[in-house]
Amino acid sequence: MPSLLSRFASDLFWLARYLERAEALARLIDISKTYAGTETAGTKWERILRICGDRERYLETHGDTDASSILAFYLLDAKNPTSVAYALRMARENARGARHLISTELWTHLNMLHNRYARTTGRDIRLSNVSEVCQEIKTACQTGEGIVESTLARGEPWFFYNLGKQIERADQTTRVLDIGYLSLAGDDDNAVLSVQWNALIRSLAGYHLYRSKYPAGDYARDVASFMLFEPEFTRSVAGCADNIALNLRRLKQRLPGVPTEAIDATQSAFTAHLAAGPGETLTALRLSAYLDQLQRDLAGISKAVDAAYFPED
Amino acid sequence: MLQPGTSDQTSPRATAAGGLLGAYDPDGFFCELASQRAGNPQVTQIWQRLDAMDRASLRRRARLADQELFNLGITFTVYSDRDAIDRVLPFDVIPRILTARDWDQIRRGVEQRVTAINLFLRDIYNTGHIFRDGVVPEELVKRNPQYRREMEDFVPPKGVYAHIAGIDIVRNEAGGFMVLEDNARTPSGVSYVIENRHLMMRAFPDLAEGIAIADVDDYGRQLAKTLQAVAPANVTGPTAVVLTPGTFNSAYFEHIFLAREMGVPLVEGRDLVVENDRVFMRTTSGLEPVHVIYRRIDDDFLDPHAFRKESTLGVPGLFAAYRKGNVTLANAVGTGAADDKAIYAYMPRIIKYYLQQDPILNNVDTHICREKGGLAYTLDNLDKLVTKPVGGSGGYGVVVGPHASQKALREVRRQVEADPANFISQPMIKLSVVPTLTRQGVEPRHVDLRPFAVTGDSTWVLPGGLSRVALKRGSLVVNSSQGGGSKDTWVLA
Repeated sequence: MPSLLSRFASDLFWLARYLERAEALARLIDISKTYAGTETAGTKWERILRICGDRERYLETHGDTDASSILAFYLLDAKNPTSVAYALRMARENARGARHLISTELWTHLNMLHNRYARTTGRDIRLSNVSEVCQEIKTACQTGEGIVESTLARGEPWFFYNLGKQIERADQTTRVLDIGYLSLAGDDDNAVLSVQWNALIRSLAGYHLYRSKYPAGDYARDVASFMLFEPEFTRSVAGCADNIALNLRRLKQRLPGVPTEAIDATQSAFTAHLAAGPGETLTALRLSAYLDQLQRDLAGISKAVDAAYFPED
Repeated sequence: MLQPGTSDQTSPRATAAGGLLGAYDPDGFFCELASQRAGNPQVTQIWQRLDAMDRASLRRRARLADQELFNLGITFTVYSDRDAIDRVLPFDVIPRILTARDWDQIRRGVEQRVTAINLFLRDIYNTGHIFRDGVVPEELVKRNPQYRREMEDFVPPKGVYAHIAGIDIVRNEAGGFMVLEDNARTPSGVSYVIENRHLMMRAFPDLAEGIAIADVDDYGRQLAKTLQAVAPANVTGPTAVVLTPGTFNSAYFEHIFLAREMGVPLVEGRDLVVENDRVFMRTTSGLEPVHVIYRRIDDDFLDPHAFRKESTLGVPGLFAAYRKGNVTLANAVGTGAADDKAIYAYMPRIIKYYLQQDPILNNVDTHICREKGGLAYTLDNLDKLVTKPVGGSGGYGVVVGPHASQKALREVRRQVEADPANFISQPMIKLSVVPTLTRQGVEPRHVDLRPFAVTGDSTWVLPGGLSRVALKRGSLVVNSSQGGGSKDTWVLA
């Protein structure tokens, strides 16, 4: 049997990344809403722009920094590459490219999901229903995940899909942690803090596990440690790193002729940086720099995978 | 051709007051349902079941079917300056019925026609007997832009050129079938035949229950078998692919469908590369050989080295690999020389010439404006005739005389006089109708039929075919680009 066409491998890899990204964005918006509370204007909503590095780009096309404009920018603006709508469109476009390799069930789900948010307008989003909308997006992405699990061929398509998914998931965990830390670690009103750290962990569906691992303790530090290293947590960076390694190994066995030196090098850099940890005294600034490094490592792996398995010519 | 027994034109009696078909009136046209009830218990049963359905339930099921098409992404994309809009090909829920006897004639007629087309293509690109024997004028063929000199003195595996053909057939008011057009390049629509059936069986299991209808599910297997059969002779276990212009093509859904039905990769030009006159695809573990390409890209765009230089859809060097016999293209290059509207007029003579048989399916009378008599007749009768540019497709440029305004008639006269060779004319055929769900209720609408034939070692015709329906009242134009829809086609056992 011939190997998978490079383009389809790339489509499946990116389908996974965009589906995971849409879900992560929904989580991020939901948690930002929790932090902003019922405030509809001002600094708290602008913070998400700063953290995502979108402030300048946003201000080029938008006058207002009120809640609903910013929400529409992240949820519905298909021209904004950091929006849910954009991620869903790209997930669908990649699925369309590899359409004949995926199940009709998965395709139909992604097609309907895309159509639904392509039709949604700013008027449909209010501060009062943001959580509901985010919840819906999360559930829809997870349904997609479930269909992939139950229908995608267990060969190259599966390995490339999971590789993409785990790289994206690790990347998104570092971003959520970054936002949480910058937003919360500086504050010293403990009552507010515990509620908000709990909300952060809940938004990643890890609350119970976190409680059982850290029954008492310093929130900021333990949350960071949990999100980065807890092997049992489905979104921890270390857990994703194991899965990345596993799928790279499977691909190596499956496609022995492909040179993987560049992938190996980027992967060991990532593993080494992850193992070294963010250091003893954890400050927001230091953590941020550490997370940036991990993000660069993940981008490096993605790029090396691209060059090895999906070369243009 | 008048067929005794199937030309019953009695208007349907109102079966029950208020029945769905109670007020249905085919208005003198041959109705694929009403006119075939007499003496046919299956057709009668379908009629009665339909008649017993209430309109609200029919509408509800029709809406669900439309929604399902949209959700499945069985859409074609319409591009405007700003947006890409996915549209569903309108689907009508009342099936078009073909009796076993009708189908037998169509199947044999299509096989005969496709066989003649393949013999004709082999002849014109090689020995040219048909020119020397004075049956078809040589310059008519060789001046056709679809004629490819590059194909001269070359015979593709097993002499097959038109591996996939779609023959457009209409039925006149006497119930006789006639060929309206041959499609020997890259005929599309087969995916709708199969998807329409799936849709129909989900939405109307009760309508078909207990009635034997020919399956349409075998198309993918037959096509895959055909592509294997025409692979280069020295290859064992040949690899076939479907070549698409890409996701932006309006028929992309069908390309996906074909690749899925055959279990082969759906590739774009950029996925293929030619080295030493051999074709490879770019895979995750490097280049792997390709032996047969079902290409859904026109000749012009296939290979920038051989044809249009600016094409970015094709594969540089592909044609040279083809001529070397290292890869098979389906369909062959240059098949457009056989499905041209001008050549169409000669098809009955072409069939007779190669097969020594009378055509099983007749042509519509055709006046060739490049010929003096044909031109004079056309200009004298423009208001009664259907005038068509020979190079057009998709129904564009067709002027239906009896329905045209004075202004449109003056314009077509000007065009025909300026370039007679570009036109043919035909009498207006009173196309048959099928009951169709419209805003006003169930009304007759005109249909045609495109059966699909697949040819490798032999020719196989998919039972039924695509029934296209003109959804506008009185309209004869069934093309999807101009307000046409489709129906499921039931071949009765």
